[in-house]
Amino acid sequence: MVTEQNIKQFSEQCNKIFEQIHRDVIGQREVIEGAVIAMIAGGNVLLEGVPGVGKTRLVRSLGRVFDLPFSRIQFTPDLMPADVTGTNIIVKDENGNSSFQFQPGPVFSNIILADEINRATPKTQSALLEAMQEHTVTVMGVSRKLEEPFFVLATQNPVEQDGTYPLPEAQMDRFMFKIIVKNPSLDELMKIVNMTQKTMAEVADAACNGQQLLEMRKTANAIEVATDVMRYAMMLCSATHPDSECASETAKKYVRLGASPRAGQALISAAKVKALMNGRFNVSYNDINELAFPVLRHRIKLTFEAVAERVSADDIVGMIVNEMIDRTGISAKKINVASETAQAAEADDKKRSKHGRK
Amino acid sequence: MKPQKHFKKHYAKLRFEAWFFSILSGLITGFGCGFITALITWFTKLNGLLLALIVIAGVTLITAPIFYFTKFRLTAMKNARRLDSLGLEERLVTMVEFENEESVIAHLQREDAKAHLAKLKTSSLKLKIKPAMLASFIVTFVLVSAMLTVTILSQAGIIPSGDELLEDAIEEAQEVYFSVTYEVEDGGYIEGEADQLVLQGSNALPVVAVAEEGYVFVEWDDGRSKPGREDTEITDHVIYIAVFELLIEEGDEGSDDSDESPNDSPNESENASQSRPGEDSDSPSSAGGKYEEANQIIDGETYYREVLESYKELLRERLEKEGDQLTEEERAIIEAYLGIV
Repeated sequence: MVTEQNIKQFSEQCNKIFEQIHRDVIGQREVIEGAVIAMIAGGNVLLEGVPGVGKTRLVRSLGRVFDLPFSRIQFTPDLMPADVTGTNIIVKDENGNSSFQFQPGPVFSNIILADEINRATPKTQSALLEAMQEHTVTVMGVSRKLEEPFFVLATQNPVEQDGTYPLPEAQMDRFMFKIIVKNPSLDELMKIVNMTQKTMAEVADAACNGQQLLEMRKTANAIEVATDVMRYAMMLCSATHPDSECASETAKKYVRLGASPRAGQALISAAKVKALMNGRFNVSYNDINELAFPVLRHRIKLTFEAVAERVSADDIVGMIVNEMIDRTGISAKKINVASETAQAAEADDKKRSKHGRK
Repeated sequence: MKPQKHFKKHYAKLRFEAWFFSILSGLITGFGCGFITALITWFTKLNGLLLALIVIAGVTLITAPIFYFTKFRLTAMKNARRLDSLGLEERLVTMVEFENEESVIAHLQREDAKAHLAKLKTSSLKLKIKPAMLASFIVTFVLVSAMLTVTILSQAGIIPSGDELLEDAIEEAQEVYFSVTYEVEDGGYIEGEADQLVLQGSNALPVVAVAEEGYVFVEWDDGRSKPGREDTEITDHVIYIAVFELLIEEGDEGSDDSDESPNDSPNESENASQSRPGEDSDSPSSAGGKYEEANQIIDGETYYREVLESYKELLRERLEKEGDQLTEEERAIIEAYLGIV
């Protein structure tokens, strides 16, 4: 049962978490907020960005702030599944009898940093699947439960694609958010350089522990979602499917494969946390629309047309959101679609949509 | 739940909005029915203005309450949605939906929603008409106004009534046109309109088949011998071809046995009677359509019998008067020439 005390603590702890992370990471507000929302909601996060933008530092900082055991796995092409999950080794007891004993791998921790996850082979990447979804690890037929809270925070580099193995759809779907880490602005860059001239050490202190994090999750889960909002969120997910009954014109043109039901679950769980973080006790359409980007961008497969026209996944999500706002007539802020191609396509889709309805 | 339970402050305005849209919808329906009434009266010559106005008023009065009770009637959820659209971020929708929830979160949510609702000014609740509704209203209004104007003008006798227009249109649709084409073979051309569209039963415009220099008009392919023709009472698509022949060949042939003076017959039967000896007068080609001396070409123009006949008479007269002064050889040459002519 959630009490007023829980809600008060949620708010205080959120403030503390952000305060401590910002001691280590300059700027990247949206990235930090996204990562914290996903962690409170119990989801895994894939951070994508060019080298040097602070992905690993952010993950390390999150580990420190949440005061949780932290494992870093540097993914390389020769990394084996057993290197991740652990394996049975032969040990001898005092009497000299040999027996198998399980040696836990780095996955047995609360926060896993899977650095450059796309550099390992699919077999090794898949070793994380069970851990990410069921929070268990099965080795030699024996399943072992991972300690809660458990998160995988993976990073990948969008450039230098030689010798990489793009994550399969099944694994992509298990990441609640895919967060794009952009280059810092000029001011942020100056602050970063100034700070690191003095010390490279991470100075963030623990803001809450694992137990408190679980309490926060429980509190956020108690937030009620109005049926209108829930239906809108599900419509949005369904609209990414080109062949669904509420398929958007954008999806019909640019999407080959839409988001799975996990996207709907992630959208609602994350929206609850976001609403509570903003001091609201209900989920709004704007919460859903803002979270649509990290939730949907890695769950949609683009068509050849989208690739040829250089329309990104974010552009497509933005166009779908705008189309849904128009279709449902809800009062929500429209998304400013980034690229010119996407804007032209959005205008085109709008015309077609109107024409179709007529 | 009573619709005004949480929204007392804004209830009057929300109710006004609901009735406004109901009446607007009723008017759209009324205008639509009014247009149909005016259209019918335009055809039936009844008093369109009065009838249409009665229909508009009646339909609006009947349908406005129907629209209110079926579509626009205030409910707590509708009010919540409307007020949420003013920037309350779905607080009121959630509050109304989870009104009976007793959890701490639900309680806090209600408090939060009420606090935000209290801050909301009634003046911010502005009437927003959907573009589709506004467009429907304008279109139906323009249509009914236009139709009423037409009906009034029709009753005043300024413009024809609908049934009159319809009759004219039907008549026009029933009019059948046929093509009348005049074509030529080598050696001539058509003077006048060669391709004509003629209303069924009407006459075609007159045309003349003119022979070029060195040619002579023989006949039309339907047997008519006169180059000029005016076809009457056209009832089918027809093509007439004018036939010409080279003068030298025909002329030589004709000069051999052209003793008889050519005659200018006004119709085909006369032409038939004047065909040259030895030809079958019943056949189409002999019905005046064959080569005749009178159809010779002089200086690129066709001179017909009347003109040639007068020249011939003049020559004869001169030959009779002054014939004594000529030698036998000269007389023979002139008589031979007259024969050709």
